Amino acid sequence: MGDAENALPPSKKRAAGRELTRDTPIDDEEDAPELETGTFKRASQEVMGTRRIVKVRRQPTNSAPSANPFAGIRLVAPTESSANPAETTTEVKSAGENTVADESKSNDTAKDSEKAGDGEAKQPESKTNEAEDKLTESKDAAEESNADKEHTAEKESTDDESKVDKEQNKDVTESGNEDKKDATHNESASKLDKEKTGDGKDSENDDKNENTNNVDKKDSKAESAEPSAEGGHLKSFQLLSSSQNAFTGLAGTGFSNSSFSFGSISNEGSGSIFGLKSDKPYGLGLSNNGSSLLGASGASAVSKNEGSGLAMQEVVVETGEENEEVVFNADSVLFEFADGSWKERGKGELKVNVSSETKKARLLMRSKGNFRLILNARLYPDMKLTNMDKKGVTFACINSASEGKGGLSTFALKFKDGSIVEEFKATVMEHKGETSTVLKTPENSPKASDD
Amino acid sequence: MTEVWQFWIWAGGATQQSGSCKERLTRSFKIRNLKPSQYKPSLRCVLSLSSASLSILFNLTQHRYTLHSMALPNQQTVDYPSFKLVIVGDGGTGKTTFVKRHLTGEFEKKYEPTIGVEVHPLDFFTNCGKIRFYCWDTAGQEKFGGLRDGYYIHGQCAIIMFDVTARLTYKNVPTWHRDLCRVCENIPIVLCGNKVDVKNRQVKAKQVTFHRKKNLQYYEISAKSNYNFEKPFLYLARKLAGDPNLHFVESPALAPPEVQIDLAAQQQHEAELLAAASQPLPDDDDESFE
Repeated sequence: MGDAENALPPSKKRAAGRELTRDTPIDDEEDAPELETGTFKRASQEVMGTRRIVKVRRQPTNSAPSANPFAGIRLVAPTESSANPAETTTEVKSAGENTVADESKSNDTAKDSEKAGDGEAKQPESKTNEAEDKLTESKDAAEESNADKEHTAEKESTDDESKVDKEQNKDVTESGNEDKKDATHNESASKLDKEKTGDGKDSENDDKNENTNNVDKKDSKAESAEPSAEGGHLKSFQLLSSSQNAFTGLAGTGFSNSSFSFGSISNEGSGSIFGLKSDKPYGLGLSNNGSSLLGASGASAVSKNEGSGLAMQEVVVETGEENEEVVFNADSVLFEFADGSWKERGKGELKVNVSSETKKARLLMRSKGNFRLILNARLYPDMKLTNMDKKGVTFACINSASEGKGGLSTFALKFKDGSIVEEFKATVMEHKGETSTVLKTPENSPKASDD
Repeated sequence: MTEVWQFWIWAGGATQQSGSCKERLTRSFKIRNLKPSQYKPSLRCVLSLSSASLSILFNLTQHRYTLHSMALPNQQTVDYPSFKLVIVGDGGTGKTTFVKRHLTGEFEKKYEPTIGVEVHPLDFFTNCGKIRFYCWDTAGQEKFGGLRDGYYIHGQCAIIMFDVTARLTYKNVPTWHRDLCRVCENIPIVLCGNKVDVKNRQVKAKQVTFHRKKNLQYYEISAKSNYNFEKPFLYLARKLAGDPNLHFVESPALAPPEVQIDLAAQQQHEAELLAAASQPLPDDDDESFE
């Protein structure tokens, strides 16, 4: 493949494979051809001896300081520079390769990836040399065509120079390997597609299988380095300060602590003028000192999760039902009458709880799935239950779960069948109490005369 | 000839490449002498400025921030972790209905397009404490887009939604993902195929493959039947907390107050009960209990 390219005269341009427009974005890679596999021939010693390593020096153009209209502006340099470019490339590569793990992924797999992530990415020497040869050949071709444009050239053939070149060419080799891995990944995905016969309910399981296949393939290869895509995580939700929210550090808002200023670019491979590294963990904007995301110096609450599975401290869960007995429970749908129509408030398990201490009963209902409290109302003696639509029942109560309202609201519960409705009504009648509620007379009502 | 000086400017993160930033500035304010010197896909732009256009640019960035701060809600800070969640997708896919379902429990049948963005705080109780998602429910229709990708700034997680009954909404998922990733580089994203309760389905489960290429989590959900409706939030919470065993727990239910009703309130309420009894309950399928 490389020879074929070099055979072409250097003046000719290679035509574009397809036209990039707004209608055909770059992201659509479904019909991308797979990369050709093969080995590059190493050049003979004679050819290697004739090659020149050219270093180009460009003289910076200095403009007169008097002509600078912005001499008063002081440019602020970033506080720290990031790691060398080779490392950055490796991290980005690994982040792109890691497939999203299912929530129920085993700890063994996680440990394997942790171990693999300890070392740096090492490329086989043969691959590096081949890529170097190819790159040098293309360099020569470019030099011959552009010889008149270059200002100065030095001829150096020391071992140190070639070592530097090898390090710089690592990036190219790594990107090549990344492409090969992507091709392998796509093949496994297409195989899974063929094997799938379900109607979509088990898509999570398919993802799990796919991940397992990928892990096996990666282990079988001799590639040692896989830094984990997820960086550090939050030690605990409780570590965060009260001043922290989703808008901290947003420029131009009331939440920002940092002022707007110009900054100069760091030339040492950092992708950002603010000194942020590219492989951020997911707990991105959370810092315990309320510092801005733009600032590079803020001490972050996000810490590396080394080896351990759990990074967060569990808290004791109190439901508020610890001293209560459940006398009735059934699945139902809760509706509230608001603005002249019934509005659904959630589906879940309805419970009638009786306190073991005070013997007072309450209705309790939480939404299925997210366990949000949707009904929390005390039973009272004057409570009336009215049947509705065979499976439903309506009643009035003060729901302390709804934050806005403090007064009576009309609710309806819909059960699976009518027998549950009768059972519910019987339970409520039994536990609502005997004595009538004291009815308060409004203060502005006329008082009864003693005549 | 005016001398050109190069400065780094914070472009609000709303546009990633200096080219697109230049297009937007030119289109809106007819500035012709802003030339991008290089393209860098990150949260700032490199612009070559003449001294004449520098003051205009300062005004532009200030104007941009004014717009952006207007879009922010007047939310009070909380003493538990909060995350900015951006919800994107084509118009009519069910983003607002999904958020409203979580917020109040109701299923809104009437379609009213979101204009710009609506921000809703959504609290969840987990085994590791309480967390809050600030849900930025963005407009899907282009004509109501507002700041568009300006709303994604400092997003910490995202949901991309499409409608399984409309193929076009799935075809546009790569565009939403690309725009999102230009602003928010490394955040957990969930792809959601909504309306799986509908019988006449157009996008089959086998056809949804985008999440594999981009390492996203995919869930089929239904805001109507509540199928998997909590899964996107659970996944994002696990990713943000770094705990795969995190789960939602029952929110604490404090003892409700004693009922004290006055005569006027009771009379008013009896009238409301009569009105309520005359209206039948919404007739959902019996899937509710399955």
